Amino acid sequence: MNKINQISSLVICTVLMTPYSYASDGFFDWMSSTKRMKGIEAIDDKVYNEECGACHFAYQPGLLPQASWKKLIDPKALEDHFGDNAELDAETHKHIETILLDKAADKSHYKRSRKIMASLDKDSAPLRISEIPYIIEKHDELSSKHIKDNPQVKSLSACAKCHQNAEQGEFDEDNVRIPGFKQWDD
Amino acid sequence: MPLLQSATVLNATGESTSSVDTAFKEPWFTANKWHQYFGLGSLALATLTAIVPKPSEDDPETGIHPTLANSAAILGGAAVASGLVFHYEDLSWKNFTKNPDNWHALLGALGTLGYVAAIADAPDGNHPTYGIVGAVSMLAAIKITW
Repeated sequence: MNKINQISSLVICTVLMTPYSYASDGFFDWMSSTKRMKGIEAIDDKVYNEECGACHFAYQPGLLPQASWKKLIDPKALEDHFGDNAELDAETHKHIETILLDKAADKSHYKRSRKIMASLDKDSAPLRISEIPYIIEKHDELSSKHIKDNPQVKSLSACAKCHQNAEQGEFDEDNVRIPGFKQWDD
Repeated sequence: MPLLQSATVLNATGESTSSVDTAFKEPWFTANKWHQYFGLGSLALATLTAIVPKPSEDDPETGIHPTLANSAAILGGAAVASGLVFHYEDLSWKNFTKNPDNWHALLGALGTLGYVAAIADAPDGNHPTYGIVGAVSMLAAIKITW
């Protein structure tokens, strides 16, 4: 009887997990991995980091859904990339596009990518990370003195100024140090 | 130009976006870390509870087995409480099943309830069932946000 109860318990646990598994592709690969996947997947690619990081923080693909990256990486769109020309040669374009689309938020099992997707409406494709409800919510306690008027930060776009491990895809509150302010704790 | 809406144009001249604090060391003891330690601790103690020798039938409430079980339940309760206090804002009704923090909270609470039920039911023959449900749920809760 005990064995039956124990097996049925495991079945109950599995059933409880089912909605979560249905909500994601590659669930069992993720489940069997021991890798820490709490933040956003970091990109260890020289071309990506050099090309994107030349002008701004090399935002990880997991910060936006695939539909957003498709719009942003379009060759026509790159001619006017938020006011700048960010055209790429064909080979580099293909390389970066592949990374962006393969590792976009809706293709990622990293927790913050999931949170980003959960906060977006279906088929939503924001062009700015700052338009994502989850990102807005996470920064809503900050005022202009922390960012805009802070000479060491200046802009919300400079993730790594405050998120000390941003380049590794870690955006935990524990890793936040706002220049000119004491340890951040909301 | 950054994708995050900027109040000031940054890096048009190639200014580095790298961290300003190269000596940064992640703190070991923060509210988030305590929550993590409570959850991991409860799972470790629940596992140990299953491994250590069971108490004699004459005196089922003494010995390392019930002590570890009680400790696991206390740490599980502390994990749930600290999660509600420090991470309540991470829970949301929107796209409920897609929010990993919702599942983390539900499974963590179920895990702790499993521990408590096992203790309440002991030394009855069914109490290991509750303990297993508790430990598996706690493991799943941790994995979801690991």
